[in-house]
Amino acid sequence: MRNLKMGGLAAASVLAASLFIAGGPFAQEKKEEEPFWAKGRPKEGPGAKMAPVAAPPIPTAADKLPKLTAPPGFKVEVYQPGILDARAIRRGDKGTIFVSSLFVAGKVYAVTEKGGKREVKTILSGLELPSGIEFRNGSLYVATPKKIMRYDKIEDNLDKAPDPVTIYDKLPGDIPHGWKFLRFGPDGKLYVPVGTPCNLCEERDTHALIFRINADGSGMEVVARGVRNTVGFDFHPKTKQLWFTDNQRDWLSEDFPLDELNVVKSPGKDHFGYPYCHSGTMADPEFGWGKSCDDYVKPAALLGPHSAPLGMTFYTGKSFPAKYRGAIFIARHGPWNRTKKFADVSVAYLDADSKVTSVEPFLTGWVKDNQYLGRPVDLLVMPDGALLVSDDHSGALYRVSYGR
Amino acid sequence: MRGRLAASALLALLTASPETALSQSLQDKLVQCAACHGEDGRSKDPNIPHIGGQPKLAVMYQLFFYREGRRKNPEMNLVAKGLSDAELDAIAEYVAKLPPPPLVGGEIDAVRYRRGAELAQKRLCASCHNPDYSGREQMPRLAGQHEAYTVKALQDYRAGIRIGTQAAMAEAVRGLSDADFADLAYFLARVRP
Repeated sequence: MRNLKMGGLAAASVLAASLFIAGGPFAQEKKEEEPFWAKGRPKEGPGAKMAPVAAPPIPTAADKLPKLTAPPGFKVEVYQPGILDARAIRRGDKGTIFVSSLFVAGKVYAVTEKGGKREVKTILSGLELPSGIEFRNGSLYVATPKKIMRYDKIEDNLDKAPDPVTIYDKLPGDIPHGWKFLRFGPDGKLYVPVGTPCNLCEERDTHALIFRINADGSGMEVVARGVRNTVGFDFHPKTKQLWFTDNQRDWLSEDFPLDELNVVKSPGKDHFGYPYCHSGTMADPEFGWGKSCDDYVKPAALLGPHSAPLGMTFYTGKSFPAKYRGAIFIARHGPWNRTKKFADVSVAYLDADSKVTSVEPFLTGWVKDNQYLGRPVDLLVMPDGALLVSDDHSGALYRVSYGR
Repeated sequence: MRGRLAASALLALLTASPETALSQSLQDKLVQCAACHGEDGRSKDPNIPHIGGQPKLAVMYQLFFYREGRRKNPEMNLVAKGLSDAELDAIAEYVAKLPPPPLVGGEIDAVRYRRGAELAQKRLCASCHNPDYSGREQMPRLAGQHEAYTVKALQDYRAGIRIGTQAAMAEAVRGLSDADFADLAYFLARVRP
C-alpha cells in the first residue's frame, strides 16, 4: 500500500559522521527504541532503500498509457485519460462517473458524456485526501480523514457543487492510513474504515477497524476489528456479507506478509488479527508473543506479498462469460515495500459455498522493467456489464468489455 | 544591417513552433525563479531554499503543490499560478541541472552535529533522501540546505500544513521538538559524507 516508510540510514554515513566528530564530549549511546513505523525494516542492502513510489504530478498522455492485456475475447480501451491521481470511482443515477483522488490532486472529478463525447470536470478541489466517495439517492458522499460530507443533487449541479452537509466529523483525522473508502451496504448503512496510523502499532479501540453508520451519520457501530488498512470492500450479492481487502504490515521480508481478502461473518465480533497475526499464519515477531493466529478470523484468500489490494467489486454484470458472474475483481495496486514490483487486476473465483477456489491475474501490463506504468485502484461494473478500472499512477480510466 | 535584422525576424517567425514559444515564456519564468533563488539556484535569504541540484520530481511536485494552492506561500503561489504541465516539467528539468549548494563550512559544533546525526539515524532520513542526503525522485536534497528553511519545512510537516506525496514525512517528524528540528537542520546543512 502507499504507506508509511522510511528506511535505514546507510550505516556508512553515520559511521563516517561519527568518525568526523570523533572526540565529541559525550560519547554515550542513548538506547532508544526504533520508531514504530519502521519496525522490521532491514538496516542495509536493497531493502533499506525502498521508498514510496510517486508518479509525476502530471497525467500520462493518452498515447503513452500502458497497453493492458485481458484474457482472449475481452477488449481493453482507454475510457478517459487526463484524470490526475484517479482513485475511487462511483456512478451516479444519471450516468456521471465520479472519480476521487488522494495525496496529489485533492480533487473530486466528474466524467460526463454528451453526444458521444466525454468530458472531465473538477467538481471539488482543495480537499485533504478526499479518496472516499459514494453515491446514493442523488447525493455524493465524500470522506476525508477527518469527516464525511454529503453533496445533494450533485448531478444537477456539476458546474457548481452545492455546499456540503457534514454527516460525520468524529474521524481521527490521521494522515497515515487515514484516507477512506466508502460503500453503502445492503442494510442502507454507510461502511467506513479507520486504518492504523502507522506501519505496525498496538491496536487502539479507535483504529484498525471498519464501522458503519446510518446515512445521516448516526448510530455508529464497529463491524470488524484487527483490520490494518482496508481500501476496498463490497457486499456479496447473495449472502450480503461484507468482503474486504486488507493491506498487511510492511517489511518482514520480500515475500511475506501476504495481503488478505477477508469476510465478515459476525459483524461486531470478528477480529482479523492485526497487529498480532499476519496473513492468518504468522504471529508478529514483536506483538505476536503469547498470541495465536487461531484466535483470529482467517483470511478467505491471500493476495500476494505487499501487493496492496485496493478496490474490489463482485461482478454483478451480465456481459462477461458465466465464470466471472459472482466472482470478485480486485485491484492490486502493487508493492512499494518490495524490490520486485508487480500490479494487476485479479479475479477471485468463488464456489457455491462462497469459498474462494482460486485467484488469477485478469488485467495485466502495468509494470515494465520493474517500473510502474500504471497502478489500478478501483473497479466499477457499468450497467452494460463492462468493468471500469481507475489508475492513479497514470491518471486514467480504462474500460474492459467482452465480445464485440 | 537592417536587412539582416528583418531577415532574422522573419526566420524567427517562420520557425516559431510551440516549443520555441514555450522556451520564451520559460525564460521569463526562470528569471523570476532566479530573482529569489539565485542565478545558480543558491539563495542568499536563509528562509528561501537553495533549489540547485534538487531531483526533478521533487521540484515538479513542489511547483505543482504551489500551483494548486496546496502549499501556501504568496510569492510562490503567484509564480506558479497558471504554469502549464509542460512548463512544470521544463522548469523542474532546468532546476535539477543547476549545481547543488555547497555544504556549510567553518568550524563545526560537534555536539550539535552529533545530535542531528543521531536524530537523522533514528528517523531513518537517509533511507529515502540517500546516505549523502542528495535526494531522489520526489524526495528532496537536504544536504547544504539553509537551516531556517529546513526547520520551517519540518514544522510544517509536523503541523500537517504540508503533507507531501505520501504519509512518510508526517510519520518521520512525529513527536520531534523544535530543538530537534534545529539540530537536524544544523547537521543536514553541514553533513559530511
